[in-house]
Amino acid sequence: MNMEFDPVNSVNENIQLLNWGKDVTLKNVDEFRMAIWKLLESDQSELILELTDVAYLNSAALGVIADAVLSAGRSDKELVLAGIQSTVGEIFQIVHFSTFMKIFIEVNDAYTYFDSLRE
Amino acid sequence: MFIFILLVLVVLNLYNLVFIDKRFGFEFIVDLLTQCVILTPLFFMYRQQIANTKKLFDSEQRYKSLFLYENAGIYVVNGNGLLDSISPNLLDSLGYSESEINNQPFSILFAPEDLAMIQRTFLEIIKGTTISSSRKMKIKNKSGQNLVFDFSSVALMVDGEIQGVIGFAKDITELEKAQEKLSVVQNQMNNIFQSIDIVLWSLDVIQQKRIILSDACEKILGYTVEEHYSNPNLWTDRVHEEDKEIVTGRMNRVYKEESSSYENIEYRLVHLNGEIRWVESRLFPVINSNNRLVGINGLMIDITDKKRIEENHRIDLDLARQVQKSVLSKPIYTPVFSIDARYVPSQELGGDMYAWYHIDEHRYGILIMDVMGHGVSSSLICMSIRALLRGIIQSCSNPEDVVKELNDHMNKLFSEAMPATNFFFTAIYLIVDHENNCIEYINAGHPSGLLMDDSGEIHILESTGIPIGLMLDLNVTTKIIQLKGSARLILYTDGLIENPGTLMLEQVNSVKNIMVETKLESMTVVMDTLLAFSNINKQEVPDDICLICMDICSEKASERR
Repeated sequence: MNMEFDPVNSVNENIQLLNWGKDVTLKNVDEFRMAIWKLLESDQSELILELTDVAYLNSAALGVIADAVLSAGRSDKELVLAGIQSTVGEIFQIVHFSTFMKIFIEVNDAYTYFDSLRE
Repeated sequence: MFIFILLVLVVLNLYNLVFIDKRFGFEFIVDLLTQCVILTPLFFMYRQQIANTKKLFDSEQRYKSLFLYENAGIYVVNGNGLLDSISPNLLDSLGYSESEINNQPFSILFAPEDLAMIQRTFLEIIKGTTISSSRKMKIKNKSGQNLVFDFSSVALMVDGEIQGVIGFAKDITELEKAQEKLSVVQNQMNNIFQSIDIVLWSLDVIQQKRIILSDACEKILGYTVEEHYSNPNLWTDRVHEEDKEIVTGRMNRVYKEESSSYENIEYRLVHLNGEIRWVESRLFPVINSNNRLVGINGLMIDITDKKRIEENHRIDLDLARQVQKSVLSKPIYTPVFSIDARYVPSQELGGDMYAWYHIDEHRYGILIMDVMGHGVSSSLICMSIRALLRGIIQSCSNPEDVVKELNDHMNKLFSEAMPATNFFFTAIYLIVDHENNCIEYINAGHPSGLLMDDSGEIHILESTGIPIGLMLDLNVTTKIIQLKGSARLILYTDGLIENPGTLMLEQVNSVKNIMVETKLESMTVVMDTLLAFSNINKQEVPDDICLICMDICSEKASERR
């Protein structure tokens, strides 16, 4: 386990947020996968993956994200992405992930989305 | 008093001699002799008194010293072996009252198995053959609880005769228990120390002396601990020639107190029987209160088996890479269609793959794919797809059917076998059709392909949908690009343009620029230039790369030529 980076998990009432703050390459994709699994195992059903400080995701990381979104759905949870930078947004555009997951530019938009679901 | 009387007599005699008799006569001599007769017994009595006083003082001191022995109880046993007296604190420890214990034989306190020895010692003291005895004994208190006492006994002298035994007894039960526990722990530690396969050692830096070395060193090197102690350089001497610099370099850094010197290192040792052994070595500094390095503790773990497994794993991975590489399509060079590719594997097995097939007289089907993951599972998915690909491409007439077939395969095969796991891949599948002079393609979430026509204009084969295998229903539409002459087409996986922090658009623009710059060059030059560009931004652990280059020439144009 790479100890240089410690993803910050924070909880907002019903929502669990994982702030991943590092590019994902082949070097750390397993660490990224572990962090995402931990997020999925949380008690909350509304999950946010914040990527504000991420400028690059390789294809393996995209696989992890897609897998996590689908797995969350199977467990009656919802995982959304937030804080998407232009470089990452470009990648998501290529893989058309927006067709099956919510992607927000701002983190607050993700909170607003979950709030609106509860209303 | 005796001295005073003597002085008074001397003064009186002198007075009598000088002032009354005024001569040294017979009467005076008789007086003196009379006084001497009277004083002589007095003198002896005086000497006796001094001796007795000193004895009493010494006795008092010894008595006081007994009480200085903290928490010790005092006992007196008479010549018949009966308890004469016991101090209150000793009575408390034993749980008896004074009336219960006094005049009882001391033997009632001791275990039967100890009695013979105790009685022998008692008799030896009483007879005067033993002056004192000191030993640790177990006794039972009134409630039957076993206690451990430290007994010190000496003869009790009265009027110069031995009348019994006196001594003190200190309750050391708790101390014994603590020592017993400590001994158990110590034994366990020793057992661990002697039995583990880890070599533990400690070096006194000041005296340059090895102070601890565990037995495991014999397993690693074949030499006994004693041999290591007698030859302090033995370990260093057995370090593999190629690793000596690593080992000595680190020790030098240790003495310079560089923090990096405490990082783990792995190196080889040569066993007595000539075998090579790998060890992992860790150091821990011992720093004194003056912040000075005074010692080094270290441990060494035999990692030979781990290294063998790693080596076998590496060989397996190399083999898997070779197998993966061997199924990649071979280049085709014809007047109307040329296709070639480069595959640069990552350290681990990757999920990138390409393949092409001649569908019919005028058409080629080409696929580039990237499984969204890495490692053995991704590689196996690649191989699985590869096994199906020929049949799918040659039986399906258009790209939509091919991609849907692949999607079904991914969903049925992998998702049904492992429902909790999702496998998917990005891909571009395209058909080069020489008869209709066009290409038909589907880009399923893959980085854009680039097609450059005769004029140097570049068309982008953009992604038109989600990766294959992600959803049961995959809505894809085939796109068609009509060719107006010859064209060059580049397809690649994301490893080629991986450059964290840079917009993918910028990276793609760089690829486009290279295509334009190398327009007149062969495909080999184009691919080598692109790989060189990719190397500039290489990551510490680079992703694998697939790169396909095609030159397409219309059949009509070819015929004209």
